[in-house]
Amino acid sequence: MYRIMLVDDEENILKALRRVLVSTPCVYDGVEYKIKVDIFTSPAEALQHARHNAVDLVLSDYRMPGMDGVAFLKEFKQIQPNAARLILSGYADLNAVIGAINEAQIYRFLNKPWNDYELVSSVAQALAYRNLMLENQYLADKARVEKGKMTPQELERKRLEEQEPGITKVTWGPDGSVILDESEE
Amino acid sequence: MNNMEPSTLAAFDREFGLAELLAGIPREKLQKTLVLLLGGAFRLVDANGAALIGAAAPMSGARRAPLALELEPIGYLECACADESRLQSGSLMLELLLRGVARYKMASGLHLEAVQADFEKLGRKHAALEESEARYKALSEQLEQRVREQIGVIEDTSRQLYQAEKLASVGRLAAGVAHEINNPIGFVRSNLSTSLSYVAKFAALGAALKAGQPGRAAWNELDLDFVLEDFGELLQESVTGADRVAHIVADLKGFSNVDRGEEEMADLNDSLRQACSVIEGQLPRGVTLVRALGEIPRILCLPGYLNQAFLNLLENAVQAVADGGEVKVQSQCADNEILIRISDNGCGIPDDVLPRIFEPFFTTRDVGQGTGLGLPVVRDIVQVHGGRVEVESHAGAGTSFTIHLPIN
Repeated sequence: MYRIMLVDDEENILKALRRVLVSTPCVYDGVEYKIKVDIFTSPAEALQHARHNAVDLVLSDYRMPGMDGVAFLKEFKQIQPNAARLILSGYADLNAVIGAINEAQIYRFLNKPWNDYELVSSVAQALAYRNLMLENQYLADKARVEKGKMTPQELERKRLEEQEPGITKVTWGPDGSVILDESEE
Repeated sequence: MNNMEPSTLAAFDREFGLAELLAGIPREKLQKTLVLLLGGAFRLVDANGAALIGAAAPMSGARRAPLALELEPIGYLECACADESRLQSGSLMLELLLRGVARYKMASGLHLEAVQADFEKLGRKHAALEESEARYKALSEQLEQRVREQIGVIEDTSRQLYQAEKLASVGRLAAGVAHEINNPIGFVRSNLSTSLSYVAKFAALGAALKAGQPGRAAWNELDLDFVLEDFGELLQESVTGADRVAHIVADLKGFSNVDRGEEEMADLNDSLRQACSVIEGQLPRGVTLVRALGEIPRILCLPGYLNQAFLNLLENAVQAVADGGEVKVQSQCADNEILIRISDNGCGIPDDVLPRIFEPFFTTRDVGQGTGLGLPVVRDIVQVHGGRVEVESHAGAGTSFTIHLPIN
C-alpha cells in the first residue's frame, strides 16, 4: 500500500483528486500500485504529518496562503527526501516553475484543470521511479556493506528510518528520560 | 583706383568731344563773350572740322587756335578779325570753360556710374532675397507638412502604447484570474468524469437486476452505499464550483467593457469591489486587503476606464507591500466630491522619484516588469472625468493615492 499526500488550500480539489485516485487503478508498466490517500488543506499540517508518517508521494498545489508549493516541498524534502514530489497548479509563472525544479526538485508539474488519466499515470510513474531509485540505493548500500564501507547496523537504521521517519532519532530529557514530542518541529 | 569697377574706370577715362562739352555752356552768352573778346565773327570747329558755332564754311584769312583739354586738341577756334594774342586769350578762356565742363561731366558721370552700380547691386540683392524668401516659404511649408506627419506618428504611437499598457494589465489580470478559475474548473471537470464511473455502476446494478440477480448482493458488491453518498456530495461541490466561476466572470465583466466608451450612471463602490476581488487572487503571502467603502452617490462616468485606474493603483499598492503589509481601499463623499483613497503601508516612494511618477515611461521596475504607463493612465482617466489625483508618500512608511472626482 503506497501512502499518498494531497495538499491544496481548496478542499473541493482534494476531494475530487481523492475520488479519481481511489476509483481508478494506478497502473504503470503492468504493475498496479495500491494507494491510500491523505488530504491536507494546509502545508503546515501536511509537514506535521510527514514528520511522523512515512509518505511515498506528495502532490501539492502551488498557490497557497501562508506557504507556496515550492517552499512546502522544499521543507518536505528535508524530512522525507525519498518521497516523490509533484506540483498541481492552475497558474504558474516561469519563476514558480524554476523554483519547483531547482529548489523543490519535483518529479512532475501538472496543470489545473487536470486530465484524470494523465494525473493517475503521473502518480503511477512517479511511484515506479521512486521504487527504482530506492532499490538502487539499497543495492548500492548492500555493496558498501559487502566491501566493508558500511556496517549492517547502518543499513538497518536507514531501512527503519525509511519506514518510520524519526524512529532512529531519540530526544533525551535532562533526567535521562525519552521525550516523545508529538508537536515537534 | 584698383577697387573701382570697370565701368566707373571707363567713365573716368572717357574722352569728351567738343560738341558734347559745349552743350554744358549757355551758347548765347558764350557767343556774345567771344565776339566781344575777339572783336568780330568767329567759328568753332571740332577735331574733325565740323562747324559747331558760327559759319559753316571756313572764313577766308582766318587764324586758327587749337583747343586742347588733355594732349590732343578737341577742336579749333577760328577768327579773321582778331590778332594772335586775342585769339590766344579767347582760346585759353574757352579751354578753361571746357575743362570745367569736362570735370563736371566726369564727376557727374562717375557719380551716375556709382549710383547705377549701387542700384544694380541692390537689384541683384533684392532678387536674391526674393529667391531665398520663396525658398524659405517652400521650406516652411514642407516643414509644416512634416511636423503634421510627425504629430500623426506620435499620436499613433502613443495610442498603441496605451493600448499595449491596457493589454498588459489585461494579461496580468488573466494570470491572476486563471488560478481562480482553473481551481473550480479543475474539480468540476474531475467530478464529472468520476460521476460517469458512478453512473456506470448504477448501470451495472440495473443489468444485474434485469439478469435476475439478488438486488441486495449486487448493491453491496458495487459498494453503492458509498457511491450514492459520494455522488450527492460530488454534485453539491460541483454546483459550488460552477457558481464560483460565474461569480469571477461577473467580477471580470466590469473590466471587459474597457473598450466601451459609453458613459453610464455607476456606483464606484461596485467598481472598487470588483477591482478588489480581481486583485485578491494575486495577493502575495502576508498581504491583507482592507475595504472601507463609505456611502457615495452614483455618478455619470466611464466605469470601464475607472476600473482600470483602480486596478492599476491596487497593483502598485500590492507590489509596494510584497513582503507583507496592508492595502486599504476607502471611499467617501465630501464637499460635492467623491474621494477614493488607495493606500498601503509598504516601501513608499523616494523623494527624488515622487515628482516623476506621472511621467509616461518613467518606471523603477526592471525591464519588462513595468511599462511606466500605469500611473499616467490613471491620471489621464481621472482628468477625463474632471477629477484629479493626489499622492502622498513617505519612504518606508507607505504611499497613499487619493482620487477626487466631482459629483456631476
